[in-house]
Amino acid sequence: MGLMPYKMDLHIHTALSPCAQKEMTPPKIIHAARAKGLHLIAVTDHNTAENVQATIEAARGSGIFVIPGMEVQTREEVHLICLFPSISACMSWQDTVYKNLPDLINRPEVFGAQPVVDSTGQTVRELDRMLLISTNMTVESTAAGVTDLGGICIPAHVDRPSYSLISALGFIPEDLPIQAVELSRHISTEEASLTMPQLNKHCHISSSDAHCLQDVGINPTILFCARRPNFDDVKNALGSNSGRKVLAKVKDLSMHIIDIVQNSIEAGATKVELEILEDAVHDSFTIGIADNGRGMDIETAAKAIDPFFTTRKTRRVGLGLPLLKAAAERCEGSLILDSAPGKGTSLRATFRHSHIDRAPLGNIIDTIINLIVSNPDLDLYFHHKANDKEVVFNAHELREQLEDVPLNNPAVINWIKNYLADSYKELGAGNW
Amino acid sequence: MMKLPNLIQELEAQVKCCEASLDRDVSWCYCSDLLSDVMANAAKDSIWITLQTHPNIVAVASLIGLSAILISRGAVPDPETLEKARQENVVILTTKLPTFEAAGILYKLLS
Repeated sequence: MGLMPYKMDLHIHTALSPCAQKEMTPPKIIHAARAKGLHLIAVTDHNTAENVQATIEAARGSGIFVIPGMEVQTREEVHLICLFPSISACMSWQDTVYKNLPDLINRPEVFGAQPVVDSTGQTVRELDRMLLISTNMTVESTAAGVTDLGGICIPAHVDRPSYSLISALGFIPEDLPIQAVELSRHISTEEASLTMPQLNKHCHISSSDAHCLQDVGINPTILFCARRPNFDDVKNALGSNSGRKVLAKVKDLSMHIIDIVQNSIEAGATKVELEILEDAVHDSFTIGIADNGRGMDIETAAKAIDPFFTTRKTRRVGLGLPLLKAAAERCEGSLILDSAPGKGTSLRATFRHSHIDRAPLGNIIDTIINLIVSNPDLDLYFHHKANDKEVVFNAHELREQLEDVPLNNPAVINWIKNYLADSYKELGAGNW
Repeated sequence: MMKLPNLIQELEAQVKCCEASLDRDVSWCYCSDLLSDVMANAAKDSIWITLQTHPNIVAVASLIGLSAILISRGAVPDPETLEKARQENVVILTTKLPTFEAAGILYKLLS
């Protein structure tokens, strides 16, 4: 049976979370989820599940599957996403959590309101108990309790400095029964793999952690499934040993291109050739970038592919090459770097076009515009060939025609944008 | 630089494990409840004051070579934490004093 991709967002707050917007009512969340093309969401308020039932009711007939859940704050100040196979398992878990919450009353003027709502979004009552506080449960007892109820436990936003398993406890305790780790919208799965190798033992998911409607579904995970997924499909996919079935946010190839061209410019390049080749016959996707910058000697070039090498001291921007290399190698491809002092640097990254992990090219038109606006004097030659069709842009030629008008003149930029958009229409939207 | 037993006395601290390994020097103190922060910033031979009682504190102490962990404000270490500490020979102390007061005492003695 063929697997189809389904979009899921397993970390969404409702208005009941005091830090969430009042607009986060069940019907509006479901509407936003549909608009974003999600198939499956989880409702995860802080230390409570009292709006889960209403959201499940609001989702009836919408085609969106709602997983009952909660974001628990443990004694160590770690946030754990807890997901359950049924509303009854979730409410039974809520009893456990309430018994372990300190008996404090919320102060809405300080922390925000905590409305329990119905499926139409009407407030039924205000929840008095203070939710934004640690329970008395440990990371271990929470994960074990959720597992005993047939649920799934996922440490939330492990890349963040606050309320994350890694910031609070330094590293993931061994044998903790977790099914995945959640990456925030601030990091892609490749960056996480390189900067936090300890995460590689676990399945990655990405979620929105939405507290307002416009964030719903912004950082989805793709689940590959033979049918419209339900809770069991998510659980099986996260725990799958036979081939990965879950794909967290990957970095668009356009973003890789921006990083690499930025490297060229910082290496003093005045000319950059960017070539994208898509070949259906050989199932290949190739990115070639060549510059006339100062180039690197053999040792520096070898180090540049190493994730922990950077010539800059403070900013963490030296990851461009290693990230592109990792992305290519994950797709049965490779990255070849050719550089010599005084000769410039050229690289060629190849991917298997149809590979499940190959990131989309992303918005290449905006990428090119972005490069021109920030580097109007750069001789950028861009060539995108998809099978027998192609898009070409040559900054040097255009500049000669324009004489004294700079390329970043708004009218010129607008013209380039329209020119690229028209060219891409001919290339066919399906290719990129 | 002071010897650990003298500090234990001044802090009115209880020794929860590794009583036989108290003959250690203490050069400084670090206060934090974020283990990632301690891993990045605490110095060897320091006492670390924290409210965290999770077994991971032992690994952090052992990694950095801390003289002892002082759990403040009457918090009780998990049994698994003490078990691990015995295996790793990491001294765990507890005190009723809150972190600020314990750190104040140590600051006077060590600076």
